[in-house]
Amino acid sequence: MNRATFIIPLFGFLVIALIAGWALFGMLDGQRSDNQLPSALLNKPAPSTILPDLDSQQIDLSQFKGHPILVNYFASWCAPCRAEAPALALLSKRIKIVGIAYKDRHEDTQKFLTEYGNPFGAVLVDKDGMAAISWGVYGVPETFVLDSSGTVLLRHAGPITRKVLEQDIEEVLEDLKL
Amino acid sequence: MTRLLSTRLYLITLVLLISAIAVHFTPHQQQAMAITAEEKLDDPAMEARARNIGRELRCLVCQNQSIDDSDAELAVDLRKLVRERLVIGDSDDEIIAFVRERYGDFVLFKPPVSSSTWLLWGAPIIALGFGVLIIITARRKIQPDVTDISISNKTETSDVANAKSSDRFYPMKLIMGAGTIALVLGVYAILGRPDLPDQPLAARQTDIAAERANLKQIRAATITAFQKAQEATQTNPDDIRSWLDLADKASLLNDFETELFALGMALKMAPDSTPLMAMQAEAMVRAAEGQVTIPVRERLATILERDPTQARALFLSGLAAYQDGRKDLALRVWQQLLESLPEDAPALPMLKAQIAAIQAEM
Repeated sequence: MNRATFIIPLFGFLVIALIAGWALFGMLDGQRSDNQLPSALLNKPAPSTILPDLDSQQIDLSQFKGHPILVNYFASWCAPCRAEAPALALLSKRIKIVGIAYKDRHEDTQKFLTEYGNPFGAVLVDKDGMAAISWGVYGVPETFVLDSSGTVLLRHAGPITRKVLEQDIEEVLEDLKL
Repeated sequence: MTRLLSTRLYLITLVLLISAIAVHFTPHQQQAMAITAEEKLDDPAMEARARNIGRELRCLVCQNQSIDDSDAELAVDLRKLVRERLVIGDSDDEIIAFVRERYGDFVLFKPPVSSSTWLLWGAPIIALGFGVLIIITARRKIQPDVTDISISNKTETSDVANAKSSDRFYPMKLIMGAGTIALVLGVYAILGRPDLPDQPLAARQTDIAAERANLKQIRAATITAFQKAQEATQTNPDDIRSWLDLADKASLLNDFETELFALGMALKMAPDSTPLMAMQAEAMVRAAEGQVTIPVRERLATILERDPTQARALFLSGLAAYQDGRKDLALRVWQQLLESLPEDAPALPMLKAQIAAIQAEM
């Protein structure tokens, strides 16, 4: 019998185990965890978006270029959107917020805005949800921060919690000197 | 003897291999589709393309279903988008690239080969090569011996396996190598095939329906019991038991208003009963969506003043401490309560779970 015939497979196994372990740690360390959805648009230009506002005027999102904006997908029928209303109200003092009403009726959106406050500098209407798909939206609420050139700096799926507001968004706003 | 053993090993390996391949070619169940008739395109060829694309795309809401299999709204929208783009004349690849650009690689059921996925894609080939390597090294070792034997015994030279005398580990190595190969092929056939259907939701559908029917029945029975209890309080308004029964039935239906009313009536008949007061406090907490409100806290203080061991009140005061952020105090109260309760107390598992949860938080 030859020792090599045993050592080679053993060595091979060790090499594979090492690579697998390294890959696993890379995955655990990396961006993607179960709670955090991957964001394909990050550091890329925001998709071109032309939508009607509540007065049915066509608005091109690129008209807001020149200043950073926060884009918030919301709907009157979405409970977490109500929960994040105070957070948006706070943010509206520092950055212009463009709201995009997702699959919502005009009158419901209006009612929602009178009831929970209107932090939005502009409200666009995405009636069939196709604009949301072009932004890679999973579901409302979802929030994006764009710099003055229209590049996506942050994407957050789900309501803006205190932690998200004070850490993630704050960091980006500070980078933008807002 | 040795020849027999080797032949057997060959046979076993062969059976493993064949069964793995057989599994691979077994026709599998048609998967349940969520696509509705009105979504379908008129052109069958176009629709077939849409299906092919749909199978490749993950429904991002349900995550383990393709957009073709999911009833989620986003999946419906994505199906619509795929068909709209097909009609405009986009190619299949263009459509998949469009969705991938927006939702990332995660939307693809087949992850592309990249720096983080090459191991995933390469693992079967590496493992297969590993198996082949074992067999080759095992064979190479015995080659010279084969020629030796051929001189003495011509009839057996053709059987390479018979050379075991020169390397008694030969059969073991052989089965290790062949086993590795069979394992790789088997795992691939069972788990790795790209044409495998989604999780067999269709198979579970009957279970889900049965479970729903069961729940419906339970609810109907609870409602009947509630109505009976209500009637009992009307015929026997002076019997405290009828009010307690009504409170119990109302709590099962989450009818806090009736429950609190019934407990209030019972309390009028037994104003000094601490267990009853504690039940009322608990119902108030449930009605307040789990919050130990200030009126409840005042009641708890009264109850514990009269009976410092009242279990329900102790539990609620622990909960109050927890809600104030005083986790250590909550833990202390609950642990003391746990020790004082009898082994068979029905609330024990719940209490233990609460303690475990709070310990995990701290």
